[in-house]
Amino acid sequence: MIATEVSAFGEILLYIIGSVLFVLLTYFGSWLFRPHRPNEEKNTTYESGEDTVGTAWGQFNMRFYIVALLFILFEVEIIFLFPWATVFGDAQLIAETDGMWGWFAIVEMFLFIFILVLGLAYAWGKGFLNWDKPEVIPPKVDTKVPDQLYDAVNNRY
Amino acid sequence: MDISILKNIIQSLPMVLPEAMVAALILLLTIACIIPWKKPAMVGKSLSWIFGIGYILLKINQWNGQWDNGFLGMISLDNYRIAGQLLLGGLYLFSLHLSAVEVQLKNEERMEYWLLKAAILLGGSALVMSDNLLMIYLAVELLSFSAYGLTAFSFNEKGNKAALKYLLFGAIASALTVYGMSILYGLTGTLSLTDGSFWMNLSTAPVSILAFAAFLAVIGLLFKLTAVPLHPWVEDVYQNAPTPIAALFATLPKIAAFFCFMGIMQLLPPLSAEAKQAIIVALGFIALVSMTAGNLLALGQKEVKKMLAYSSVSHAGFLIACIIVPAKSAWDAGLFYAAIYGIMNMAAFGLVQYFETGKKAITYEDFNGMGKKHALWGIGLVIVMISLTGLPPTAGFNAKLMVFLALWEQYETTSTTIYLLLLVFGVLNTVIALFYYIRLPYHFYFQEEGEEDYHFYRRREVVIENRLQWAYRIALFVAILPLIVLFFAPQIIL
Repeated sequence: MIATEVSAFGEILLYIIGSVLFVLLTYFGSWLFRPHRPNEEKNTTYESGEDTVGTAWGQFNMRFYIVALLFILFEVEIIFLFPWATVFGDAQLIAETDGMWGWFAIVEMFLFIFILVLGLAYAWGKGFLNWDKPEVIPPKVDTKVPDQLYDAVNNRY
Repeated sequence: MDISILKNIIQSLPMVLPEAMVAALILLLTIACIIPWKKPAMVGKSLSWIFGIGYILLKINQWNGQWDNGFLGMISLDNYRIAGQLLLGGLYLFSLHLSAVEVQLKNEERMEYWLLKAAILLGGSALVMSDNLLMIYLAVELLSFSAYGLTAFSFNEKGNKAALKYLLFGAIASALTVYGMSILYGLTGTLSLTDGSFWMNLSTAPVSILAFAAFLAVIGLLFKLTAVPLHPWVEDVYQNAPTPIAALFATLPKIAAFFCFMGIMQLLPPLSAEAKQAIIVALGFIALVSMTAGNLLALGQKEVKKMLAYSSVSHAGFLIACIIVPAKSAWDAGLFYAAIYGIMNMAAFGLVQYFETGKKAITYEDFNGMGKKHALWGIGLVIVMISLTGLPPTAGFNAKLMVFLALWEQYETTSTTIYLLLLVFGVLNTVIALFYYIRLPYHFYFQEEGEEDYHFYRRREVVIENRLQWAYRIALFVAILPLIVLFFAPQIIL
């Protein structure tokens, strides 16, 4: 007998198939309708509008990773907040527990956010968020010509 | 959603009160990291001590309490587990003391040091209580992550290298663990070990897949126990991590993993007899290989800390031997063995640390002829080494004897060959162990130090402050005394 209901794993499979099809169809559609006029500029690797320099194996500054880590931390927190909010705001559960439910949920979430913020404060306090600015050293020229003379020339022209 | 879930969670909060204390310590230390203290080591140490003692007191308060499963079957507590956690707390405090000495000598004043140590205690304590595969995994990861960081705390190239090796090894081990657990979840539909359906579904699962998944799932625990297929990292990590950290690694995570394993084995009964038999034989084989390979590898070492590292592998074999005996006697033997193992390893690392910081003694040869000047330390050394071997009159003897008796009883009642094999190999290994343990006191007392060596090491000698000398003496006395006392009165623990 063939099961008529789609199981939870079946839904995931459908989702995967759907997403692959979506990408393929979009590419196919754009290939069908777009004009085909390549030039050198268009054929370069797309890298957020920047010109690509060097190989992809080059080393990155460690600070990128720290910033990325902190970013992911808070992004995951946001994702976590959405399902929490629906559970937290469940009027029936709050009514059944005399508000205990709400208090418990909010204390839990504040603890969670507090720990995350503590991590951010740690990174901040330790100076991991400070970006090294390259120190600009003005060139010094040993010359007998006084500065005013240069200024006078600059003013004139 | 059900209100009973909320009720269950709120009711189980007191179960984790001591752990909450350690968590609070970690958060406080995180805040303290940012504040520029004049004496950070002082702040970190005092906070750790206060909260560490608080943890132990709260744990004692839980003793004999009516604890059921908590947090929807995530954790459970009984007196056996509480005893394990008390042991972890004691080891943590002892390691704090050793660190205090080390930190002042090296002028190493980073708050993160204390933070990561507290995280190890939290991870260990959680692992002992775990009743759920997810919880076990999280606790093992907490233990591992802090351990990777702490390994690099000697801040030299070798330390960093060891930490990186440890990290790579641990990452692969934990990946395999998750993979195994996910297969188990696929087979049973639950992660809870206390759930009856977990074992029910396992009994009907195909044997080949089940064996594969179960082996992968316990890799995380075997990694923490440093049992044989997962031991290659110990040598570098124990040698290059700061010594109090190595002492902590050698004891706390292993004992935590041991108690977790004991908890799992207690839940086995619903499994079919053949499956149980297969698990016991597989683990017994790991135990056998661990104790033998650990001993043979320890024989060839030149550095004392490496020898202790491999000796801890062989001790892990004995701990696993206790795990696979499903009898009350093995439970007592396991608890006793774990406690004695913890105490004597702490003492051994404490002694090594004293000679390492004061005399720069790292290899066996560095210990040559020290007996003339440090006779009292030598007595301590002899006691600890004899106890590690498992000879009377030290508690190490009682510990090994109890394990052997448990194995023998189990063999007599079930006549399964693996118990007899373990017993025979255990006794043989004790003889092998004698060679490398006693080598240290031998070099200490009976070897003349070479003329050249003498000048070399005189030049390197660091004078340890008087106050610190006393700190060492008290610590070692506290660690060595139980080894003798428990030989005559083992009932104190049991």
